Amino acid sequence: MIIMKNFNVRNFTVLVVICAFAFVLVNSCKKANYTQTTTEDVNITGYLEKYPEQYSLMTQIINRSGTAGFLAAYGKYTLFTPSNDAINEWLKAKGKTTVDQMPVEELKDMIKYHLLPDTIATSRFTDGKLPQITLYGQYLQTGAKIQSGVSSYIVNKSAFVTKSNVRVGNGIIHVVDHVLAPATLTLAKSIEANARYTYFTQAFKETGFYDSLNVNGATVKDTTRRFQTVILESDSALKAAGFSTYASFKARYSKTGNPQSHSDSLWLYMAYHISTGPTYVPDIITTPAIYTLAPKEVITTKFEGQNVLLNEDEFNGVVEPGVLINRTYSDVTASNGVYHEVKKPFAIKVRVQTAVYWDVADQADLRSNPKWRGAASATIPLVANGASTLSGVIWNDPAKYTQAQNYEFAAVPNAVRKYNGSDFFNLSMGANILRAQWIELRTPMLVKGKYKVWICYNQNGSSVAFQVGVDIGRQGEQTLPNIVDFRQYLSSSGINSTTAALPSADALMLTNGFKRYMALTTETFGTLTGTNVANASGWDNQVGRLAGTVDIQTTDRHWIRLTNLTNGGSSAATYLDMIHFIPVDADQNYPRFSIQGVAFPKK
Amino acid sequence: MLAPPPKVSDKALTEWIFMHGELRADMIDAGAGVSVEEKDMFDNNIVAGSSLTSWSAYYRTINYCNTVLDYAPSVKDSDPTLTDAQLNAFRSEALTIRAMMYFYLVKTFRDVPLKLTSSAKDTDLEELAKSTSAEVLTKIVSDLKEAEAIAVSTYGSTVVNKGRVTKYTVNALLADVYLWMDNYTGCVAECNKVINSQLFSMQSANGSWYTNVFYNGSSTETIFEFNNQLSTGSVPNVFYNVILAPKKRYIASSYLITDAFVPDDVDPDRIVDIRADNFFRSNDFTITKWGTENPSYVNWQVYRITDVLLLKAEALAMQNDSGAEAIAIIEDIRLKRAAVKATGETPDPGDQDAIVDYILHERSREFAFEGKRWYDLLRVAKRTNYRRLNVLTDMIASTVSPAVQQSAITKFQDKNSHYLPISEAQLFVDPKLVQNPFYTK
Repeated sequence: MIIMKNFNVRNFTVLVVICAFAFVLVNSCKKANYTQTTTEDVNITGYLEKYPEQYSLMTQIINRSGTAGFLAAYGKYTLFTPSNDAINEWLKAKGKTTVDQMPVEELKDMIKYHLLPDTIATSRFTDGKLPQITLYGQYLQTGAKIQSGVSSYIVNKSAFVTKSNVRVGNGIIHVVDHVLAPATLTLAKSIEANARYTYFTQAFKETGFYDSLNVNGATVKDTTRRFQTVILESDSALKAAGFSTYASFKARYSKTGNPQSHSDSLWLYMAYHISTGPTYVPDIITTPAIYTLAPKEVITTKFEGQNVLLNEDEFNGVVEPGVLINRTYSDVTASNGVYHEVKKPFAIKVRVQTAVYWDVADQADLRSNPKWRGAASATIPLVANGASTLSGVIWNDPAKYTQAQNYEFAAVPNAVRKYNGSDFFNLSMGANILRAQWIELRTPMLVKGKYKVWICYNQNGSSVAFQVGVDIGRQGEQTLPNIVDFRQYLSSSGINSTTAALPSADALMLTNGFKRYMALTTETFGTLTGTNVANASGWDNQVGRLAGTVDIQTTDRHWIRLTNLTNGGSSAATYLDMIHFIPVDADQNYPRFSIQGVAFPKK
Repeated sequence: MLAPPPKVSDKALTEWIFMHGELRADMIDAGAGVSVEEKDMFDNNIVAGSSLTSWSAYYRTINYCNTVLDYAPSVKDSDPTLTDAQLNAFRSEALTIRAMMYFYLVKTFRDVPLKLTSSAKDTDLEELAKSTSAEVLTKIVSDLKEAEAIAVSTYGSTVVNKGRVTKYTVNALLADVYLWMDNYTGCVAECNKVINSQLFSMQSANGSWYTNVFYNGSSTETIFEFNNQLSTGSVPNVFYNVILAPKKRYIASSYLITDAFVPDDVDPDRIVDIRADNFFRSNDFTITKWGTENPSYVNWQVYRITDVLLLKAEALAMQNDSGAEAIAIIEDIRLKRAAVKATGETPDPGDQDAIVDYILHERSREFAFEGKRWYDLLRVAKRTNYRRLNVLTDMIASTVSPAVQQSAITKFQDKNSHYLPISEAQLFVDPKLVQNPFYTK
């Protein structure tokens, strides 16, 4: 008679009346069973209590640590629970025989480290850290490992998941075969304790980074430094690179005599190996560049097949081999961050600022398409299924576009519209949301310094005018002063078809922020001859327009954005060919380009 | 079969065959309408709670077959005009379709409960334990042998011959089953029965090839198809929302243009593989093989003559001294499909692995989006105690998201992971079922 609990003595009369009615109406009311809960699901503690042969010790820990209250209540948790065997092993390692002998604080920490304030099924596990941090304040790291033909999820590289995705009323339980131990050492201590890294330990000490890597993350005021990521080079890798002793390594870099000075190359070298935030290998893969503690220096990242490469860059058409992350010795968690190891040493690359003549149609994702500069004319969409098809191009709202955004290649170039490499982006830009309001392109590697930015296009009266910006919405955002109006001919520079053939024409165009970027029929390079006419019909279709000067702060790939400023705009009327980044003090006029995609130097 | 029965909210059988045969392979990608569960399956991140592990559609069809097999003989009592031959023909169809469903189940889940009696009333329901895949395959083979003996060769009409089970459907299915069981001589023998019937041939590679074979269907190439044509009173196929609508769930993957249908390097406008542009649109990767209209009436192709030919080629390749014959079959198909030079390969007749790889590549072109790719890869990978597991691990290295790539590769080294889990709902209603051990931890 569960119902009766709800009545109190004062309502006894009422009770009698109701009972009388009940007896009259439903004679069998005594036997009815009522469920009082809304669901039969148990909560986390209930589940553990249901299988005491496996989890009785975890139940004891939860009770003793005083966490039973909230683990039994409603909520959204993920608990990694060790089995009894695992806890016994853990107790033994601590020199204890029962849970009662453990200090309450330690048990509390143990629970906190096994508990996440979110429901995370194995389908959200990655090769790196879990998307949520534990209540203890350190990330758990996941992966998969194969053992005699059976693969299992593994947590912190040490504990196998033996039973996963047990759904209970207030979350998810995963069973692990070892107690997870939070990292107790800081990055500095952890690296120091590892005999593979004596060079780096010494260098961290001498440059002063040892102290900043040796802090308790939770107490750091600067929240960006709560977790740090260190990329290490092992002693053997440095020895293989020719540094037989630490002294020789130090002598190679430290030139000022004071390694703690921020201008000392050893300080910069070590700073270049540290970044802020907990960056596990999958995070490295998905981020294009790691911002290091060395001022304005980034490490670029690349994912190729199964390899994670650092600083593998194409620079001026030459691929510079990068260094491989050694995944076996990476993703090592410390109390205030994570460290990785690379197979070969890498240092800040000292680069000389050079011009970048960038054909926007030369994108890695397009190059892998056999139609790209193939044997026949081809069109490859840049937006398909509401998303960009290229990793190097971003659009404002591609899901709404109905008008085509294409890459185009012409096997036989048009008589009056010529492009470098005979290919270009044929864009539908405009104010209407059916077209793109802006397009953002990821540049090739730009060495830090000041550049003049030239937008090279083919004129079309139905196109629009653009504001050009660099790294909009990102660090170091810059907007360039000149409006680049794709409706303008080269004659907008003030040169007309008569004066265009004069030797003075190029200089006059430059002063007004215009240039020819395609080679003329009078210009040759090897066996090739340019195809553009100096002043006959169609001479002014191909326009190089100066957008302004940009100050690039970090040597990295940047983003350049073209934003429409007009009310109009037609479909397939904006023909973007190249973008030139030329150092301010270099020749802005040459080289010029050709339908073969070859640069013609000045003669 | 072609649509869930009234008041049952489930996907149609064809959609399940498509999903289970393609999602974990490399020929389709996520479209704008893809669900989180589907994305997880693309990433080889599958949990038993996923709704994509349902086997109801297969078992529902099995129950239809069981009902026919249980009750058809009693019809003779009330209808004296039903001849034994007619009754046997009906039984052969039910046996074959049931075997076909169990074959899908074995390939997808490996060990499954073998239910051979109908569930026509509540008391027929029983809690069954799983049978091993070997037991199920043995039953499939014996059922098909029985069906072959009593099946008809023709129903007197081309469309019906393709849309209903004939002797040749049985032979084609049995060849497929034998190849899965690595019974190469059995496979070749079954293939020869189909080929030697002289009833099936490849159509020439002209402009109407797609229209004949797919759009209209029931062509000389088809051995068995699920008929979706309006003229036969059938229901349209299910693919509009899946692969054609603006928020489609799947699109063709880049594998199609980088590997399967590479353009010719001399004259890509005129020298084209007739399959390429008919199967998908290369500008936005929309899959067009199953029609472009809403609704679409294109038939679902289950077995075509090219399938039998390539099954035979693979069985030959696995036998000694038959490599040259296998290569000849592939080259003949490529000739009839105007395959371009760039996708040609020249394996050594003695190099089994190279020939099988060539067959896999040709199958990916011929049967793109027909729900066969994953099973083709798995069949090759599992052969000889998983000697060629790398076929799967290499594939997954290029298909899953980078952040879970290493886990996905490691998972694939556990052969249990190649089969889907039993869905939680099924485990709940049938306590005798035991979950695939990979998914319990």
